[in-house]
Amino acid sequence: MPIVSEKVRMLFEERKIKVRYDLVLESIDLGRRVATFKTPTGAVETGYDFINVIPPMRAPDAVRNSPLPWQDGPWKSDGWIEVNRDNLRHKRFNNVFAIGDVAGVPKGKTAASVKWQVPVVVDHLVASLAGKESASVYGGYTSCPLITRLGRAMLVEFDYKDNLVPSFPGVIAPLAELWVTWVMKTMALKPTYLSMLRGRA
Amino acid sequence: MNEFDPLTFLAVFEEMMGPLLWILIALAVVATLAFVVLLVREHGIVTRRLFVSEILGLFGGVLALVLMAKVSSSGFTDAGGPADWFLIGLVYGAGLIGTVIVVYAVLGWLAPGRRSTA
Ligand SMILES: Cc1cc2nc3c(=O)[nH]c(=O)nc-3n(C[C@H](O)[C@H](O)[C@H](O)COP(=O)(O)OP(=O)(O)OC[C@H]3O[C@@H](n4cnc5c(N)ncnc54)[C@H](O)[C@@H]3O)c2cc1C
Repeated sequence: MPIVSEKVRMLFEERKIKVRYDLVLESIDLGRRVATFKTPTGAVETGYDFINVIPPMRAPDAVRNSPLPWQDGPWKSDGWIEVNRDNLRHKRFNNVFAIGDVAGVPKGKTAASVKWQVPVVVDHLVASLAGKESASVYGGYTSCPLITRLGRAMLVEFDYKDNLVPSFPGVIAPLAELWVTWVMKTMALKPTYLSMLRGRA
Repeated sequence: MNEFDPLTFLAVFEEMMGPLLWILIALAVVATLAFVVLLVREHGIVTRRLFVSEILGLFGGVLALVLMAKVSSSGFTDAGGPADWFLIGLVYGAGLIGTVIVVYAVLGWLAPGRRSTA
């Protein structure tokens, strides 16, 4: 997401946080506190005081070992389900849809995306049952409350086209570090997701 | 958000506060009713009582802000833009108005000979 990446780059620079890209964690020596990274120029060892490792994400085995995932392209190895990005219908199995993290679409691995995906899929399912077509489209909406420090966050929302799609235009600016966004993140999001799971939101 | 549905907001607030939500709503309704009934019975506002309520209301607003800071694990010093100032104003305002109405109603219903003043 280029515009957010630029903003974060500026924040890092302002706070004198050094950033290094193109490092892929290969191994970690807990005793010596040394992490080894693969880089374009060979292996690099780096000592650390605190390390936060994010594992590679992929579909669960039940999906990966089924005929559902992409058969080629960038998502083949991760096993995400091969769906049409606009209506989330499987490209090869007409009666299969995928929503949530398991859907092989370019954006949208968030609970907020699910909230946008469900009505689209429901529309298509209902239309199919009635023998009709639905024009409902998922535009790739996703949302990420990006915490920039204790007490402040940015409410970043965007779509397939890397456009910012703010929910509260003019009130909550997408690239502003705001307390109100922190308040929303810390107080309202979990209850929102829980009410989503209960089918009430 | 996808669409603004008041029922969604209710669901989220219920999830957030549990039974406290209903207690607060009940308190607001009862206090407002008590306040309105007082206005009707006394044919208007009792200035002295309103003054006392307003003074306490100033503290009520502060209390609301302190509570907000506590439950959001942050403070208003974190405010970074107009939307933040607006929220701070809103929280303070809610605390102030709520306190004024509650205090005015309580004082009014406790005061002896409340119908003689006007
Ligand atoms: C640290 C972190 C923070 C996040 N913050 C946010 C946020 O602030 N806002 C936001 O919108 N999103 C956020 N997300 C993303 C969000 O959590 C996911 O997008 C969302 O949970 C995806 O839901 P899902 O139902 O598609 O998948 P999941 O929640 O992963 O559910 C899949 C379920 O399937 C189960 N399962 C797997 N294999 C099998 C099997 N063989 N049989 C039966 N069950 C199986 C799993 O146990 C799991 O319970 C965050 C994610 C992470 C990791």
